[in-house]
Amino acid sequence: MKEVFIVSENEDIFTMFSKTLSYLPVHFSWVGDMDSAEKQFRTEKPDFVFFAVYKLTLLHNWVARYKSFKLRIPFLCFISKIGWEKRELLWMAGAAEVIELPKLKKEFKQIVETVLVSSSDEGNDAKLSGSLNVLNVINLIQTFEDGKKNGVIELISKNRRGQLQFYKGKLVNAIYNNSDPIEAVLAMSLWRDGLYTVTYDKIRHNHRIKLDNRQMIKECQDHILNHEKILSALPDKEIVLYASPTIDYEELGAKDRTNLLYFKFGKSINEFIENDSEGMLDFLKEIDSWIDKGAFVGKEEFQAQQLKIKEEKNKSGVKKLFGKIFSKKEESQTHAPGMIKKNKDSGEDYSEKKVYMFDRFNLLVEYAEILENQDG
Amino acid sequence: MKTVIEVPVFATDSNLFKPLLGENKNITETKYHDFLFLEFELDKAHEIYFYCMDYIPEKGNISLADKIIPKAPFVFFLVEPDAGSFSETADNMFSEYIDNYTTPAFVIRSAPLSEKEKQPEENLNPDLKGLEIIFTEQENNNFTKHILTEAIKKVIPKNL
Repeated sequence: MKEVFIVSENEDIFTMFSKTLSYLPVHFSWVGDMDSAEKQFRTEKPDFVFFAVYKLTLLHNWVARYKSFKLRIPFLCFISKIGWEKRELLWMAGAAEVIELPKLKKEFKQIVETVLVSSSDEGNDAKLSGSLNVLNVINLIQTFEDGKKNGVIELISKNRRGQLQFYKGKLVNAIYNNSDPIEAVLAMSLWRDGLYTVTYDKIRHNHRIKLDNRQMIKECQDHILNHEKILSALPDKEIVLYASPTIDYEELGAKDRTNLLYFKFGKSINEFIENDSEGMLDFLKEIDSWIDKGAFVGKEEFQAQQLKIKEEKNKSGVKKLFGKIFSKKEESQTHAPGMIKKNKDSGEDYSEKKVYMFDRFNLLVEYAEILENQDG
Repeated sequence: MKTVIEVPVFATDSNLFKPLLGENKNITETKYHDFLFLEFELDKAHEIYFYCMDYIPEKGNISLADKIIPKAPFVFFLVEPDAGSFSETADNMFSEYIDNYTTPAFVIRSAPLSEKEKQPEENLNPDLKGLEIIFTEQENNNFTKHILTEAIKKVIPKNL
């Protein structure tokens, strides 16, 4: 595992790195600004240093200080658009790469991955690791079987992490979230974007999977086929779908509610697949039926429904009360639980807008005067 | 005794909160589970609390936003600095806000590039006309002071 120090005044950037690059065999540590980083450098030597700074002048200052420590540890610089034009000096100072932020996630991953992974290849890591793009779970089970060894395979894909455990070449256990072992293997068999690390050991791992490797591989193949079948039957995956504002979330199950809420402000099916929520596949299987029920609408319809709801809200109190009574009556006649309420004349129970209650305007005048009199 | 006013700040991306902090040493930052809390000490007796969120919380829950927004003098929306029209995420955030709250809201964006773009009303969805726009550069050293002063100026004449 490579160690990377992130030198930045802001912890956000560290969170971004550890989230986006969690699948890499790299450990990120946020060491604060250059003052606190300097102290850390005295006791620890990472494999890489990342500088992430908003202002270019500060970055130059930090790089100069860093160079004076003569650590010879490669470093990368991350700067904002503002400092981008003047990045040549950083290259001249020896930066392995200068990266402008913000950047598209894919592009960002690719750049950092190239620098970090190519460096880790040079090391003499006893562990065997590689990309899930090249060897997926099925290939990994087959490879382990051939070696008849004991050990574990750690799989990291996006923010997900799982483990396969082997005893004498047989897959005996799998861990992913709280899923049961077979479910865990099936879920991981779909991972294509990420890394695996094989560690051989002499541990007798718990024998929790009763299926032999052949049967397990067959299960995975069926699962992958089923997954592909569902994906290929989906409507255009690029189109942005909006969850209709008329959906009554209270009447839905937890998984459906979470999945539908994901589309609340418009998302494409591709984004949904990328998000890989729990129960995603089951939800996708039913997507046509959700569309038929009116749970998903296009942007225009979404706006029209919002407008209609707003008009409903503006109805007079008495009318609203009548609306409520009649809508309940109507609902009990026409809607089974879990169905989506149709907005049409339903007079649904949409609560009022929260009223503006601030009244200390003299105090605001006082604040304005203080602000005006402040330096700068 | 200290006087405090509370200002909710919404953004389409949490990175957009950065200019609020700027280089102002009187602003301290604390991270909570679902919002970023900034404490701006104007002087010994006056403070402003910013509650920064990159989403509009679900209404109906006893949410922080439901408690604070109605009692706040105004709220801010920080959007992407490009000079074109608002992103879909921003548009959705605005309409979600307008649907649920009546507290004056100011959209903070970079100064537009052309004369045509100086007509913000044209850029707005007709449903969103309850929002006013304050133009400022994100790199402005006095970003926070500037947007506060502008917002106060806009709110006071209507209500005093």
